[in-house]
Amino acid sequence: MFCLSDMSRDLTQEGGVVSGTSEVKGESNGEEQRNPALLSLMDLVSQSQISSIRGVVAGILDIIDNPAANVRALKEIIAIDPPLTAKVLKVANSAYFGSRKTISEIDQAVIWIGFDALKEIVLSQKVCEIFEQGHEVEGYSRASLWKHSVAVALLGKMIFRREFGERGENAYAAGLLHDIGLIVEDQLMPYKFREVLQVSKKERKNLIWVEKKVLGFEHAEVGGVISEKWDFPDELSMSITYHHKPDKLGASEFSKLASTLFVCEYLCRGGEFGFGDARYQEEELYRYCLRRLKLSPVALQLILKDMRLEFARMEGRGLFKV
Amino acid sequence: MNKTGKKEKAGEAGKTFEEKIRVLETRIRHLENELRLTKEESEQSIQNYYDLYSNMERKVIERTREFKALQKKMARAEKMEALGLLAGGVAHDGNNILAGIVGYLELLHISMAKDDENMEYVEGALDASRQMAAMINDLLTITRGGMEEKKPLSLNHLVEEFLASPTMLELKKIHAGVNVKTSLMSDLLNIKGDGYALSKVLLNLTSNAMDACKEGGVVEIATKNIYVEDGIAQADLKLSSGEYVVLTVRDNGVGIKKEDQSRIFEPFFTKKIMKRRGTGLGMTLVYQTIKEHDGIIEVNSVPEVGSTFDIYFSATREAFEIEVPENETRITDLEGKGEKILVVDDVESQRNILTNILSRLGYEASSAPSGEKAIELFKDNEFDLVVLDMIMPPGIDGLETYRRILTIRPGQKAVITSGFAETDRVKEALKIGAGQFVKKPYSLVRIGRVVKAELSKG
Repeated sequence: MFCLSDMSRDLTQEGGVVSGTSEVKGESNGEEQRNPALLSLMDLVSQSQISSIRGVVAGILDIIDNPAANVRALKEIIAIDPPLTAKVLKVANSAYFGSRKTISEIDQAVIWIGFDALKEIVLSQKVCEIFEQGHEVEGYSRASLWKHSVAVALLGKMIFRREFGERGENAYAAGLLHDIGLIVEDQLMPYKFREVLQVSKKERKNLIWVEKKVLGFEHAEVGGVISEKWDFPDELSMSITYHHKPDKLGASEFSKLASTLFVCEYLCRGGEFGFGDARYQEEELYRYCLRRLKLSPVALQLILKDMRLEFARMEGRGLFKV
Repeated sequence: MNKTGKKEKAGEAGKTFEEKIRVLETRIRHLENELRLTKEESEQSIQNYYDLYSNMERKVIERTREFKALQKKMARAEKMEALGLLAGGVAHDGNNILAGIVGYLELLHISMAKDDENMEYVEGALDASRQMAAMINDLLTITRGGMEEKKPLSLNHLVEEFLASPTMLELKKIHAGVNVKTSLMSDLLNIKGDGYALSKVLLNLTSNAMDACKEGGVVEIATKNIYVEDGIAQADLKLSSGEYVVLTVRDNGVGIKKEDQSRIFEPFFTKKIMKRRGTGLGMTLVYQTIKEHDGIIEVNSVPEVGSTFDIYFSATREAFEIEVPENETRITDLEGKGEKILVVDDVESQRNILTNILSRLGYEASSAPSGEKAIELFKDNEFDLVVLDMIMPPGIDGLETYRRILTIRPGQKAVITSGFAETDRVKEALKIGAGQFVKKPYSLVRIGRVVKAELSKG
């Protein structure tokens, strides 16, 4: 059993949490029936600061999803969020874009750095906000998670562009948001989340597996429910939900993005883009995804190399920080 | 084409030729895709810039148009204001001078025998002076707060009164061939306004309409209630939501040319060949009065078809009182019984005229040239009434004078006079005890009646 003192600060005391970390059993592997613990967690999310990004994020995702959307629509979305506008302009003026003129308006930003780049900046600046909120649970670093998310986003986008010949904007968005469930757990149930991290490390088990045992759900599910509740496009919410088990989507239209997310996460595990969640025994699923996406290791290595270069360039020019 | 699970290590030395080729092929494929996507995106960006640019261009044109219209409006307003200031100054001084002329003429008139051979000249001069006084009165109304207090009134009532007035009868005589019709809404709402100023508006609009008509023309005076829903424009006007009363004066006369329509409210602007002499300030007065009533005037005119003036006033739900018209007064009714009256005015001619009038009416009148002198006099003398001019630079004004007099003689009766309309200081004087306010130039009858009324008060 957990310590009472831990329970008292934990925000999801009820909700059928499986207790006893010593007697972990095999994965239940059930369908996505909505688990009461998950639903009560969603209530907390809706009252928490995490929800503050909902409007802007959903708005940008709509714009990305709609090829006819123009600059004015984007302007309208960020006009109501002056701190965001300020951040976006700051990024637009950063050395990365190397604009000679000082960009002081969104219109100018569109002209100097382009609409597509601007959409990415707005989205990443807004999503980044929730990585800055609240206290950090020991055992993992929020900054590392943000770095991981950006890396997955970049990699996903590059795979879509170079291998699939598609714009890959949704892949970028999915990358940024795929681990939003972890932020929720970290902020709204910090004590249990700390335990999850500890058990995962000690017993060398996948984080997802420990989450299911300790919390009754894993962060991809949390992210999935949030993206549904927040009316994200289906492709996005489905791929976030299934990014740990893209095989469950079979040949559905969403499996491409979900599988890509899985591949990207796999490639960004550990090392410079990891956040302390080592992955165990996932090679089979990884190979399945490569087959499904017709990706060759040669191609992935090339793309990964370019992603590292791009990432270093962004970091070196102060494009993002947490 | 590629089998997974092989342990290929791209980017490392020691690759076979085949492997190197595969890396290059992949690289080329990647670059091709990037190139194609970048081209697509650039094309879309160009479209985006174009959208933004055309949007800005449209905005600039729009703003420029708005700006020009506003500039024109402002220039007109500035011109009106400058003219107003000038006219106001002229009117004020002219009014004092005129008061002297009228006063002496009236004294001369009274002192002359009825069959005096020069009577005709004096009456002619008095007539001309009165016309001048009317013009100055218009000017003063236009230039500064000539407005009396606004009271609830019925426009229907005002129109009916106006149609029965001697002025209207005279107008009908001049324009015998013009038919004047009315179309008054029976349950018309009241408005808050200055009846006198509004009757002048009515007079000016009607007489202009009649001037514009040819033989057999028709002038229509109409009233109606309208309700404006929020945001719905009534014609071209932007009215906020609420109840309005509309006064319409319509004619089927010569009309006003489009380029002249914006100028008709300017002082002394006219295109008419005058059948009789106006003051040149009629429409300016109309404009000013409507502005002071927070009303809106709309002009629709087509040359050779006719003109329509619609005036929108905010409606009020307050009821109005019918004022009892002043009775005709005979001079003998105004005569005093030797009561002592002190006239305080800094202008000598004004003092002389008023003391003369009062003496003639049987009062014992004396005068003081300043407030300070008047207070001195009060220390050793008693007066039944003091007539105080309001503005006497550089000395203390009428209100201050009255305050000090009250400390010497509590309850002292007083009448306040001024060339300007009722100001806050006048109101204050009335509040602390002064009986009435008389606007200069005062006629013998008016000042006589006021003095009499004040003295007969308990």
